[in-house]
Amino acid sequence: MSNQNKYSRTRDSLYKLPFRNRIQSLQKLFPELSVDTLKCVVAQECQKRMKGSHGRLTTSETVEAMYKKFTNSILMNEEPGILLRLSDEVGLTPALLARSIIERHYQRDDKSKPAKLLVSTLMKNTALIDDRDLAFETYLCLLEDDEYGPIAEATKQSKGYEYEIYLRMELENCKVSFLHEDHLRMKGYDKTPDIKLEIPVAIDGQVINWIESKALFGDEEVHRGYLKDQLYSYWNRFGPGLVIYWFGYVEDLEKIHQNRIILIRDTLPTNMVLMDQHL
Amino acid sequence: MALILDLVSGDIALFHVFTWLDIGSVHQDLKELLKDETENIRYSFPQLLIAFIKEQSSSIVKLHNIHPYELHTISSPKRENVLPTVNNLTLSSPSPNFKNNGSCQETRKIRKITPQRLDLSSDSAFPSLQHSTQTREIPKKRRINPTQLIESPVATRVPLQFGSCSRPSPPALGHNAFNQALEQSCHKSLDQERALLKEKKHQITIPTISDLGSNTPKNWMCVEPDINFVTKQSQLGRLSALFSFCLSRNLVPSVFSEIQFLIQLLVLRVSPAKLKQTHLAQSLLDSVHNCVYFSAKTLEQVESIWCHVDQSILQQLRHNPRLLLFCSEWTNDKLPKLISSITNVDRISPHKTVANVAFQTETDNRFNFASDSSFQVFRKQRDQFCEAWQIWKVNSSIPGWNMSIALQKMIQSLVDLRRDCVNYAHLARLFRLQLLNVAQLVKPVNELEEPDGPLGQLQSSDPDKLRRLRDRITNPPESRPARCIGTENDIKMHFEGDQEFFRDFILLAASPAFNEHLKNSLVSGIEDLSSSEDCDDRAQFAETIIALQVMAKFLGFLHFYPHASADHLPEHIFHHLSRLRISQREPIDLVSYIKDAFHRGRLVLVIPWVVTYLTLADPVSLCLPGFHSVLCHLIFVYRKAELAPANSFLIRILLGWLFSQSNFPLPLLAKPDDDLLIEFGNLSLATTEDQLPRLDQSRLVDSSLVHQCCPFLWSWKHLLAEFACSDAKSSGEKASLSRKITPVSAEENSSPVKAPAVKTLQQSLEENFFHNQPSSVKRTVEFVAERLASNVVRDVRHQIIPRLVLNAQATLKTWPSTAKDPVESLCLQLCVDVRNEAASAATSAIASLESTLTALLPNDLLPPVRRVCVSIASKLTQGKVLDWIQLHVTKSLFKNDLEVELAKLDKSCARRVTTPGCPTASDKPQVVHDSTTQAPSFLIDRLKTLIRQVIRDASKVTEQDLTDLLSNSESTLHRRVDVTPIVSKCLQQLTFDLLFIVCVFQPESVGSQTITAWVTFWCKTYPSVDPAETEEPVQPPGALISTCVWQVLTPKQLLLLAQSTSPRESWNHVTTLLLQLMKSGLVRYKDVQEQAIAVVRQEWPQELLGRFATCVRDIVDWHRNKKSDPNLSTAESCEDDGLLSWLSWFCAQDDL
Repeated sequence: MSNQNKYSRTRDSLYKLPFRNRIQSLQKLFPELSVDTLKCVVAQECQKRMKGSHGRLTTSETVEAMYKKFTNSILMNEEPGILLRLSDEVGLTPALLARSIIERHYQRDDKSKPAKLLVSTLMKNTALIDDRDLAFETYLCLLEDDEYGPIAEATKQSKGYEYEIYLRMELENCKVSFLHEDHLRMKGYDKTPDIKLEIPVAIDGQVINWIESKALFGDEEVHRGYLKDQLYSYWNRFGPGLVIYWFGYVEDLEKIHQNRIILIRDTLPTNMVLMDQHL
Repeated sequence: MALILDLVSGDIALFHVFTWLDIGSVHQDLKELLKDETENIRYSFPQLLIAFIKEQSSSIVKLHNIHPYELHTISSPKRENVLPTVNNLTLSSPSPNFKNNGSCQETRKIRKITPQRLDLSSDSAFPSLQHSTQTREIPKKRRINPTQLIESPVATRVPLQFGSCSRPSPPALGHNAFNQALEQSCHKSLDQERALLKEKKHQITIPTISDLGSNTPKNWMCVEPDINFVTKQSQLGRLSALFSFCLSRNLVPSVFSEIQFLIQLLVLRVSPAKLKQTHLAQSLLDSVHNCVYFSAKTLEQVESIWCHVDQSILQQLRHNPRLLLFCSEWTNDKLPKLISSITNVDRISPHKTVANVAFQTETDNRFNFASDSSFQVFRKQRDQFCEAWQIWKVNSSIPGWNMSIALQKMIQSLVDLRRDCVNYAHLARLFRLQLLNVAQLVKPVNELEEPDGPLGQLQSSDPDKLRRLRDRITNPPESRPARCIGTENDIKMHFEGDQEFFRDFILLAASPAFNEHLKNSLVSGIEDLSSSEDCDDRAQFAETIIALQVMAKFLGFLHFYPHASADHLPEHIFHHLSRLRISQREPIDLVSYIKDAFHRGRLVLVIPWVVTYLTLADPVSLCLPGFHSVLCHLIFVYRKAELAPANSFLIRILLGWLFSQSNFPLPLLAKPDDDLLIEFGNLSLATTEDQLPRLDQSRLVDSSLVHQCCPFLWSWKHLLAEFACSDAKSSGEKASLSRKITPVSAEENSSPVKAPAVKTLQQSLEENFFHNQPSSVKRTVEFVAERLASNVVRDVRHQIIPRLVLNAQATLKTWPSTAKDPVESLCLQLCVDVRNEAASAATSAIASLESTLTALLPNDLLPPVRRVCVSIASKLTQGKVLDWIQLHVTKSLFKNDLEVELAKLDKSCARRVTTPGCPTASDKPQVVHDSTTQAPSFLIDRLKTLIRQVIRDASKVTEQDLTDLLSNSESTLHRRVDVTPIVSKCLQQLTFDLLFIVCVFQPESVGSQTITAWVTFWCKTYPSVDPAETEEPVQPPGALISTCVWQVLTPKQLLLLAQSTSPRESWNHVTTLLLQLMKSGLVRYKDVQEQAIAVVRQEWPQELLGRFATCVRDIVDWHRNKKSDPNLSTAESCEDDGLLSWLSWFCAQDDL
């Protein structure tokens, strides 16, 4: 999906859908797009929404109100899925809601929040939560949330790393010599792209010195974020490079860079030109 | 004056004059003329000659007017004030007092008081033979510069993209010779002028206006030169011969200015009307015809200059109509040959862009910083610096953009982000390297357009129009980009193009600490490059010269900026300031550089940057004693240095440019060689151990380098082009004719003197050994040793130390907890180990020395000599490695790593789950990645979906599904390299959750083998952790006891069990699961105790409690049996069963 219009249309249809199971609905609307791409678009939309409203939805007053509602529902012996329903109601993703409720449940005597480590341990292993209902409800939330919570985080991390390894393998197949992040960190680099080419290669007539792998969809906001935190830093140090958005990107993103050359692709180009090494 | 006139009109063979000027021997004829002042006059003769020519032509030049309508009078009164100061000095006779004091001020006083020597400017000493007017017309200026120099306030920087070169801009003094001339022109009495005019009319017939009117626009009329109207041809010829001799022998102070002046004479335009009105003093050069004749003849004779300039200048000369008329042979024959012999080489590829400073591990990685925070902060500083540079590049040409508004905050914060010498030093280095990258891309030619395009055509047909067009586009009159600080007459520091960014960065940062570090960085950069050996090819050499110039320029800027003033300094203030600075130290020892370069034949490399540096000097500086010696050295070099023609041209043009700067103390130029020689000190300084290549005789300089170093040379072309295209012009708007560029400059300290080391006999042997071998032998040995040692150190740093630290960290885990301060003793041990291993690494590296050196050393070396080289190299290598180890391998190197590890051990074990293939698990065997296995993210997704479906939708999971999942999980976790610790942990949790949930909700799908298989898998994949590590430091309020994944009897699990539709089967399975986990050691008896206690704290249905009781009883039974088994007597098995037995009994009570 490189077309800006199509991207906007997808986003627009997304806004109209209820929060859960949007991927299935979108798949019907845009059958030509890959599931991974749709997942990314949905995830990014969700993250953007949460960035905007998380603070507002988790003030101590609102959390207190939600916690009351939750304990009430337990007392009323409501069907399991209480937190899921509450999540739909307030617009916080299930895992974020569950986290807030846990924080409230384990609050200290002075009503301050419990240690972060405790909360994340409980989120990872809900069986450790002393309240059986909260434990079960939290677990249900985690199973439903694709964006937040330990399971979703692990999935995301895994995906990123899988593509990084995939990229390394591909490069090895192409006989490109490179250093990867771990090497660079060991050598004391201050900024470490996924791949730093020890011998540069050319792609479509442009020489590149490094490659960054991103297992997601590159829209403008995402790309600007990466430019600021990573890509420009690489450019500053190593010169022109390549970023791969494995699940597609919006076209014309390269325009943002002005004169700084950073290529954008959605796969490792097969037409790389290697340096002539014959004597 | 009279002397010159006599020479020119007399019949003394010019040959004698030349000999006298050259070597000082005076012919009889000449002696009479010179009276007794031969030596005295000899050195000032060229200046007298120039003054004479200018005086002779002054009256006609005053009338020069390329803009018939009006003159643009832009001269600033301030600047004109400066002139008399200089001019007073101009023609002063060389005073013997001169060499004793460096201050111009004093000199001036002395001259006034003691005019005992011959004063050449005095008319009483040299009475005019010609005219009474001479007595009145004392030249007020050293030279006349008829170019109308206009400095638009902003135009010094043409904001084009990089690579294009801005048009040369004038140096500080934008004084307009014309305006001065005008002001001075009404001195003579009217009567006298009228009388002279009458006389004139008798002699010369001026071509009438109607002759010219036909082919020129009516508002543009000028006298066209005609060879037939030239008077006093023989005198002009002699004058021209004298002048061209002085020019080609570099006797004049500035070849550049004089050629410039000749070209101005060549393109002289005088309107007939003006000529009619004005009375002209009768002189040799009193008509356009004579001026052009003189100029053409002289230009023709200075061929040695023309072979070093750009083709385009020669083309202009060739097509100049006046030259065609006056010396057709030269323009038609010789010039074309010369042009074809010169090839313009453009070293800079048009597509090259400014590269950023590359990150180099040797200089930029963590080891180059004192602390983590310093390193992290510099990472930010580096990025912000690059960002500022980018912002500037994109915006600086946008009208109205203001750098100080846009970037000041950013620059200030980034420069002082961490007030620490290490960060300042790194930032200064980054700044310098980026500056050098930028400087390399300044085009030697100031036209970027390709010759074929429409702009290119305009370029050749009407360059001035193109320039104006370009100016209008880039600098709209109302909205020129506001420059950062002050106006350009603030200081005379001119920077073009992208260099402006760096200047403004310094100004905006306003950080004394940064400036200091930058100075140091520049000085050391100059030091390094000045002794550079890589000057083999032209491109490399040009790069070095340009880099030196730009560093010198910024060093000069940093050093002289505090002393700049927009005002003309009154004498008493000048005097006061110079006294204040009398013992000021320069940041760089120019004299030793010049001397050294002179002796080592490297002037061509050193003079350009020295000149650049000095061009930025303020007037006070140049009069300080410290500079006196520098300037004398330069003058000596100017007169005496012998270089290859192109090299000589380059340094002499540059030096001439320096000498013609307004604040240059001119009397120095008239000093005899002998006086200068004293300044030069012991010239005989032998150049024994000279290892650097001598450059002065090499053919490294070409015309494009000359123009790159001396952009002011373009003003010759501009004068000619202006003339060529103004023929058809009637536009009165042409304001500016040419601009000059101030070249760059910089300077530096001499290298610190090394403390003499105590020499042993062996050392002197070694020294002598190398002394008698070719210098390359020593260089090779040192280089190889350096590289080898560096590789060993790298090995120690990146391989040996990390490996040993890792081992030590592992040791820490098994360290008896009773031991005192385990870190301390481990560090000591590590030091010893690292030293040992490093030593052996060095030894094995040295083994390769023999073959390496054999390949690199001259192959006619005797084998024993080679062996000595090998042994010296290995000694050097070992020494270097040892030095490094002494310095760096200390306890503190490891302390941090081990303490962190210790803290981790104290903390939690949860994070340290490592799986095969996980990137941190370095001690695991290498896994061959099998991409056919399921990706971990896929597996997580699948497990998650399954669990959800079982709980929510009661979807059926078959035993086969479980078996498949098990084998998939196994292969994913064991045969892939892309499983991270977090993912592995997540899979552990999810697989356990799934099995537990299927046991609860669909017990029929689970067989006991399935449970056993899964537990075996977990056992293998997630081996149980040491008991010591499971001590839980985070004791949260509530019932959180263990963070272990295998939670079977917690409230949540019981809640799930309560939902089972076939509780008996479910409980059976769960009990089996728990037992299996305990048998395999994954769950401890103690854990079960704790879990069970947590359960009974809450209320539960009686039925559930009953089943719970049964389960617990089974556990207790198993545990009892295990205890009685003598083979399995562990510490744990000694635990008491009482608590759980009681719990089991308690829960089983119906009436609870």
